[in-house]
Amino acid sequence: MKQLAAMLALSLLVGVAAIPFYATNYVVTFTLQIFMWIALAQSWNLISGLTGYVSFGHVAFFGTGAYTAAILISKAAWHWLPASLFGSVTAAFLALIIGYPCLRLRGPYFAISMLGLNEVVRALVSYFESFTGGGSGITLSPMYTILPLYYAMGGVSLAALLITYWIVNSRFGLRLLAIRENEVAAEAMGVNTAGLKLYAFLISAMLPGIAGGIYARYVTHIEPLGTFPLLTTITMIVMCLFGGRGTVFGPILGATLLSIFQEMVWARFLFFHEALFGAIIVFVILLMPRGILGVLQQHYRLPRTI
Amino acid sequence: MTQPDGKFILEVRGLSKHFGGVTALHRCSLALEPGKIFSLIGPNGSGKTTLFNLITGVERRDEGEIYFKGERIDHLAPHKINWKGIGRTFQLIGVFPELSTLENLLVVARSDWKSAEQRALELLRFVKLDNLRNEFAGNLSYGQQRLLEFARVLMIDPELILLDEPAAGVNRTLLNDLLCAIRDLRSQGKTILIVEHDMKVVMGLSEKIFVLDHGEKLVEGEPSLIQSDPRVMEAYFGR
Repeated sequence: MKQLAAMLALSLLVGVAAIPFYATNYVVTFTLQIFMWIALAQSWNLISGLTGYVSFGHVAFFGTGAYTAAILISKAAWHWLPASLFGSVTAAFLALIIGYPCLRLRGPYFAISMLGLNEVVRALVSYFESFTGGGSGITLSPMYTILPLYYAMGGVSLAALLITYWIVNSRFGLRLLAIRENEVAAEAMGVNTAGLKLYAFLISAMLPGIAGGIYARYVTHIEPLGTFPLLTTITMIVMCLFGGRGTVFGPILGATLLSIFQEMVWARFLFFHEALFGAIIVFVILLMPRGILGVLQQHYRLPRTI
Repeated sequence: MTQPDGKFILEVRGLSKHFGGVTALHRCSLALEPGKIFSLIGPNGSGKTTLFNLITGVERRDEGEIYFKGERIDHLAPHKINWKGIGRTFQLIGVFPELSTLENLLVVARSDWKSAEQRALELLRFVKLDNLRNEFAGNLSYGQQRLLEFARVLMIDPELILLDEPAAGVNRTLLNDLLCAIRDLRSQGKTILIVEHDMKVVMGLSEKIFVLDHGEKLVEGEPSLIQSDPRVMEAYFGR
């Protein structure tokens, strides 16, 4: 059974890696975007799905990574790959500054503080015009091919999957889940909740930091409003919840299915697709709060670690 | 302030806690000798659970000092107090509902994974939950969840165990096993402090009882003395 699963996973990996060789440019671009959403949904899952601390400002780390990479590429002539990787360092630094005080807040207070963080970062980016281009943003020279970006973004989503798999199967992950389930009891039973939450938060900020850097190189132009939209955070939340919070494959499932759904609906109902997306949010929260994998886990007694 | 007396495993001195205008504890003091079973009784709202919360760092004191084995602990985070050797259960059950019964024990283990799993299975057998090891803890009955919480405390092998209403919701057969287990822990040299409303359990187990009323320690003594103390009757039934 394990061998079969490994074979299937390998075939899927090879199939996805080979997409640029047999599919149209549209499919390649669309798959790159799915990779990005997988990385974002998975990173949100690491802090909010596992510990229950709902972050409404995760796009701040994505935007920080995007601006870090764009500045390094345009002003310091860095190659886009190390510049994107460095985006994870600045995102983690931001997470450390905000996480240390804010992870002591519980429930809605943390969620609201994260929402505030996003607005603060966006305002700062707009304010330091000489550095960030202010409201006009930063424009990068176009790339000859997006193929390297496709594999880089694919690598980030794969890394997100592997990191989540490792965490969910480790004692660290078990303790993060205990925080979600009953933080007071976990702490009284010897779990260093403050420290573990901060570690999880740093890891969950690094992935969007890299994804943001690659995204900046991909779109070649970033500006504050388009890089820090609340809708990006909401989308990653919905994708994670739809697939199954706290699971390994849930965010992948959610990101893939909802991206396909959005693409199909967007193309057919130009002015109606956001209403349908809103309907999905209501549907998931009311009828499937555990997401697809959560429901399958309950009905078919699947292991928690899928 | 005098130094803590080395003969006590736990010393609470002049502990006070207010929630807004409500006084939950008022200058409460008590001391526990090691290797004995103690009970904390009192009417609802007398401050028993608050005292547990202050000892384990879940709540912060307003006044007073807490010493564990001669070391002051009232400024420490709850997990550090636990690492010193104090384990507890909760009045409102504190299991992790979406973790399996086995994972509920493994999550607090500090030894390597394999020996932790072995110990967890032993404890689940002990509380007769081993056949439910893969079941979500939230799906267990109330009494089973109490037993699981008890097993989880044993998993970390603390020197001082605080049990908040361990008998509530546990059926008679399992209760007898639980009482045997508590006596067994005492014979291993553990110190146990129990909050309990079941007077049969309290009188049958305890070597010393502390009675709280309106956040103050009313009286302390052996079970026979407590049973006949008019102040205790008055606290429970009024004048």
